[in-house]
Amino acid sequence: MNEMNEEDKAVLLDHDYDGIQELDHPLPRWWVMSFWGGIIFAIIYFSYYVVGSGPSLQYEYGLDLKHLKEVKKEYLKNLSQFNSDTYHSYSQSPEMLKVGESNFNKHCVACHRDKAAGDIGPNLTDEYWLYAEGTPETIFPFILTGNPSGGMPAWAEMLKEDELYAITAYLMSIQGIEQENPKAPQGERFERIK
Amino acid sequence: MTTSKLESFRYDDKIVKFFIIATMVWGAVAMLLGVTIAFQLADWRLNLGLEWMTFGRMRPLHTNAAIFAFAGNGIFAGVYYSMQRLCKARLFSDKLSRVHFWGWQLIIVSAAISLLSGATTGKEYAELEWPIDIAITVIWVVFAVNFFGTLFNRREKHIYVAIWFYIATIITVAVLHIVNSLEFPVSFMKSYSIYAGVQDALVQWWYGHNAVAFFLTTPFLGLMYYFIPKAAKRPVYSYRLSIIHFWSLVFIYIWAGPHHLLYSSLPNWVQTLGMVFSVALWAPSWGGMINGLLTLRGAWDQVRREPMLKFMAAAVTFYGMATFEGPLLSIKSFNSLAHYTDWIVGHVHSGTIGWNYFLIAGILYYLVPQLWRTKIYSKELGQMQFWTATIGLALYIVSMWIAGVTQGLMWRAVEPDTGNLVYPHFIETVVRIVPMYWVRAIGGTLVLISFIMMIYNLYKTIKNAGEHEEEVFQAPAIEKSKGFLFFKKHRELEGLPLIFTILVVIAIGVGSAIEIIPSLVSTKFIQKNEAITPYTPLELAGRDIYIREGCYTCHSQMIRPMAAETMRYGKYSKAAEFVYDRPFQWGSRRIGPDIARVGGKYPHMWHYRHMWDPREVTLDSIMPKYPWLFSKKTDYQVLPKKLKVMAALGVPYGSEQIENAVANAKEQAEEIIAALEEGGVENKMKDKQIVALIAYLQRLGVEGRDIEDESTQEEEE
Repeated sequence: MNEMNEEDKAVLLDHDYDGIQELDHPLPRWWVMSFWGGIIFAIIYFSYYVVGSGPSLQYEYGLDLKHLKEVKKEYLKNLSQFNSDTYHSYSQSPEMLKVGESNFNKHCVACHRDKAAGDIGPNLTDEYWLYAEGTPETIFPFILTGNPSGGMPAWAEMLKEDELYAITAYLMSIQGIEQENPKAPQGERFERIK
Repeated sequence: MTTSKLESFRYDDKIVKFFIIATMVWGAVAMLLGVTIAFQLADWRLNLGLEWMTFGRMRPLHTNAAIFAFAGNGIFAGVYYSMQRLCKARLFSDKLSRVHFWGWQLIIVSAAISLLSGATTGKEYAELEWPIDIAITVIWVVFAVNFFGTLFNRREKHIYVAIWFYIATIITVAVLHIVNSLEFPVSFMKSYSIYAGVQDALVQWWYGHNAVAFFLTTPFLGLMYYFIPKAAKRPVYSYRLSIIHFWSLVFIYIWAGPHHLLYSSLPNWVQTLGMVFSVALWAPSWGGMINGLLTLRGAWDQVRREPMLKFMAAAVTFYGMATFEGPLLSIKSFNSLAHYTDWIVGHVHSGTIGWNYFLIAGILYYLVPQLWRTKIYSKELGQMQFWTATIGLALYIVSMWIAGVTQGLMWRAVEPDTGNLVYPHFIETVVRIVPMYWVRAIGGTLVLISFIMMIYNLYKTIKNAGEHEEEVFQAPAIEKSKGFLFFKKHRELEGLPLIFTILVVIAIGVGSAIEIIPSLVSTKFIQKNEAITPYTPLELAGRDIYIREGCYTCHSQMIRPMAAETMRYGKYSKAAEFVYDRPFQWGSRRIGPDIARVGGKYPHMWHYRHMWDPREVTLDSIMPKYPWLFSKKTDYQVLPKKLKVMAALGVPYGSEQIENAVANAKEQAEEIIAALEEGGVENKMKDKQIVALIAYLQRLGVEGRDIEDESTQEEEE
């Protein structure tokens, strides 16, 4: 054993295990306080949230959700009004069509394939439509809500207004283009309006 | 008092040497596996497209190897060395020692083979299948007999604090392992848990958390109490603190498991118990740290010079850090951010590397020169090892903090004006943290390199050692205590190991019973719902493939009641949805998104593509490819047996369903292939495993969609 100071010698216990000795220093005060602090916290917290009337996780979740639903409702109310002026400003701007294309390539190609020729989802460049009628007025709102049970997400929850218009404009710009190996038509035929 | 005659005895140091070598070998293996899977996350191509090399199979092997092979052998080496000296007695039986050693190594080898081949129970850190579970039980009992036999033969009346911790370890690990591994065999390497859903989760995390507590903490505290005073040649700081922190630690730890299940479908009261006991655990844990660090008082100049002491001091410091971070992460509001993220992974590694590896390194630097009667080959190399390991660990922890907090915040970010998620695509949150995966992999590599430095250093030390005789020791026998039911002081209790052990059993029994038994015996906590039906035979086959591939290592199946989470994944999960899940597959980390409600979200074709190559549908995905699911056939013939076992466990399968299981599965496969054929898939694929897996994935969470949220009910009232 190394040299021991006086303070240690005073609390040295008369015991030896394979040469190991033990001192009997008092417990550090801050440690004792945190020890009891932890236990008291445990009792109070448990009493309030379990025995008492503290809100449940589900209740707190309900409040959050209610607030978010209101925000969303307000936002969707404005968004779902298809604004043909906005749309035309997008469809006539080559820049915006580029934005639409890059967004389509980022979010939509996984199911609709390059140039929307159809794959897991339908071909979006032929004259056959499952949920829309081949017009921006019908395509735009369908993109917003999607058909989640059929695998098409509600994109209003994921994309911003300008991105949604840009994608619609891009889709309209590639109607009837020549496709290599397109997916077979699905849905009802709607004659293309020139 | 009569003075007994002096008795002569020798220590069995050979068995300690065996365990030391095994510790070095398995430590290197465990860390190499860790580094491999770390790089796999940074670059998915390192999964190599091989079944046994995929992350889902390697990760359980890494965790099992680190805990049970590396730390396990380290514990046995340290316990067997210190136990003999603290008891002044040779180990109870040389034969049992050897059975223990070779049995344990055999278990490790069989674990490696079976886990890589896909035999797994799918419960974290308890993945080994039933024959290996039985072998573990047997070997653990051998260890216990050897240990308690030595204790019985001791020539030192009182048992030292290190032995208290060893007793708590042996008892509790046995209880945890047996209770959590109760399963019903289907075949040689396949079984179903006797617990289902929420119950299974509760039992599993009671086990999982206490594997940390009683495999990676209490034995190491025991080792700390022996090796730090020996190495520093300093007395233990406070005997009183030893008593209080030992009993409070053992009593409180066992309750903390449910903090792994906060915000889950576990009843709220159990979650809250888990949280508050975790917070209360902070001081008892720090009691151990204080006693370790203050024992080193007056030895700090030695700490600077001696790699051995440096590792020990750093180990205790990291223990303090990890046991502060643990209670913090158990607080619900912290947990809501950190759970499922890499923060937890970083936290775990500050424990296993910082505390377990470092303490083992310190112990080995003490033991090897002692046992081989020589000096350490190179202290400089030891210093280099220390700094390499510390820098590696720092890179590891910091990168995981950054990754965890970043991803946690991205998951919950909501645009205030639209109410939409800022990062609706899960993949965006993955791509963001991939750079941190590289940093972590480099940190891990440094830790591995440091370990190899130690192996070399110790190898050279051993090689340079000469021959030596076994030493003979002498000590008087002790009188066996009689009528030992009553004791006034703790010191008297230390002379009564049997009573001591019984008190430990009570201390760990109370929390276990109060938390687990209510959910097992009462249906009040897990309400059934008629909408939830058992898996069809094909879905069950698919589920077993899901378990085999270790999908739970990256995907959770537990949607928490949080707005950002239900917007992303759908309604939060309810206890009733999991009543047929044996084992439960809630997962603990979302390297990929939650899939509790993935059923019906995508067409069959999406899954077909995704499993073939995830990048076909998610451009930046880091998930491995699973090509073998497209060439291997589903084992239909075993399905009646599987249903029968499930029925025996209480799943309502009728005898007709069991008989028709094969036909029923083929019929369902036919339906799925019909849909796939539209996308150009050939009909001959219908018997392949991919179809069974799709059947399983497409039913996930579908039936539970109509179960009311609790909160909406409250609103209506």
